[in-house]
Amino acid sequence: MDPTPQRRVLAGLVVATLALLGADLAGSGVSAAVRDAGGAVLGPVQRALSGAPRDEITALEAQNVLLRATVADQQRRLVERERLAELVGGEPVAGHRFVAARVVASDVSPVGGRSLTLDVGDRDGVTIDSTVVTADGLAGRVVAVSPWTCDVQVLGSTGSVIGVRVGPAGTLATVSSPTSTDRESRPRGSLTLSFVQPGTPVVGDTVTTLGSVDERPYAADIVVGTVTAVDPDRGQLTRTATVRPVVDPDAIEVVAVLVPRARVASRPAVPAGGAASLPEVAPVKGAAS
Amino acid sequence: MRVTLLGLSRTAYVVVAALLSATLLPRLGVPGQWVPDLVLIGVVATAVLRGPVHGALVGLVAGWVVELVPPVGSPLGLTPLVLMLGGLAGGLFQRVSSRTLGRAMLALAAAGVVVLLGRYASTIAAEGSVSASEGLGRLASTVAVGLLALPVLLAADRALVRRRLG
Repeated sequence: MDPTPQRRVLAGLVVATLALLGADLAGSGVSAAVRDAGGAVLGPVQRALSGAPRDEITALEAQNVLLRATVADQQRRLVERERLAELVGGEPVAGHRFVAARVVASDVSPVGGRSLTLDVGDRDGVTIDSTVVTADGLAGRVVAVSPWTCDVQVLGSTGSVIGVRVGPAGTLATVSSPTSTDRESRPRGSLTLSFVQPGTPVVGDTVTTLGSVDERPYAADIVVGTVTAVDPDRGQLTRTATVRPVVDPDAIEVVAVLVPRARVASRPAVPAGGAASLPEVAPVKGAAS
Repeated sequence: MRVTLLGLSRTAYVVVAALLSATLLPRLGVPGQWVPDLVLIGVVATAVLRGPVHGALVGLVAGWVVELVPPVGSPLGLTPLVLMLGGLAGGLFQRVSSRTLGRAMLALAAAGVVVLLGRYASTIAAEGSVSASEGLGRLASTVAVGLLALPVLLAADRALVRRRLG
């Protein structure tokens, strides 16, 4: 064949391939049709190649697969129930109203961080900027809500900054994902803690959320992680440290979405003195003890 | 474009090779990371005789066959592009005067490395990291099988061309 038309054919095919690749990455229906066609045409050949069906053995194998699937399904349900019980009894949800949810999809963003999709949405009372927690601590916040699902930005995603309190003194700081401008290198999966006021973090300090107005996007006093290393003092204005989150982003399965409680009534001023003059607080204390 | 015996046998080889590597070899007990890239051997066999443009074209078409053999690849179209680069690399080793097997083997090794790098690059783009040993077994087995298959393929190709069937 003459080289020039060959080149033309090649160029055309490359363009077609790139177009299909783009269509597939964009989630178009064209690629699904191509996929179906491939499976429909070559699937039977593959079935034939992998051996003719032998009746009894095939039936038994099919049964085996079915039974195994059932067992796996039951086991999964047991684990899920256990996780849910752990979550309901856990510290992060204490005192909050929440919606229990299961992770149905997860995606690693090309620019770092991870996002999850939960099986609860608008109709379950989830709103944008609700806090998402697991039995261990803070998982992230809701960034998008649809009627039946919602998307969660997991802790440590690029651009997420959380106000926190550190250690017993409750020093104010922020936690964010490590950036390329960081002076120190941090292990994969850990976060950068930067103080906003003078103070020195200590390895082992617990980091909890500061809390936002009306609990959006983060409710107060939820464990974020522990300080694992403190960066050396290089004369910078405030100290920085490494925080290991308590929640492993790769292993999130059952979560609770905290339903934000907006304060509607004004907070009454109370006179100091006897307990009898605290009508709002007294019953709660009685219930707790 | 004429339909020739060479073209038909080339198509048949690619389809059979794609089905073999996807279905039969794993079923016969060949572990996944040691399955040779039979399609690449075929692509290099024709590319090394006819040059880079032809190699790229055959690689692209063969890649589509591989992609469409279930499990259909994802994202659709990545394998054809990678195999095209492999065919291109193999075709760069074309030399009319020299017909030794060594040159064809070099072409196969180069094409294998290009395909491996392409896979690494797409994995890194998708997942951020890659284990370097992952595709090396495949490359080694491809070169080993190529040592046996390439002389046969090259001889068949030349014989068909000589009898004006190509």
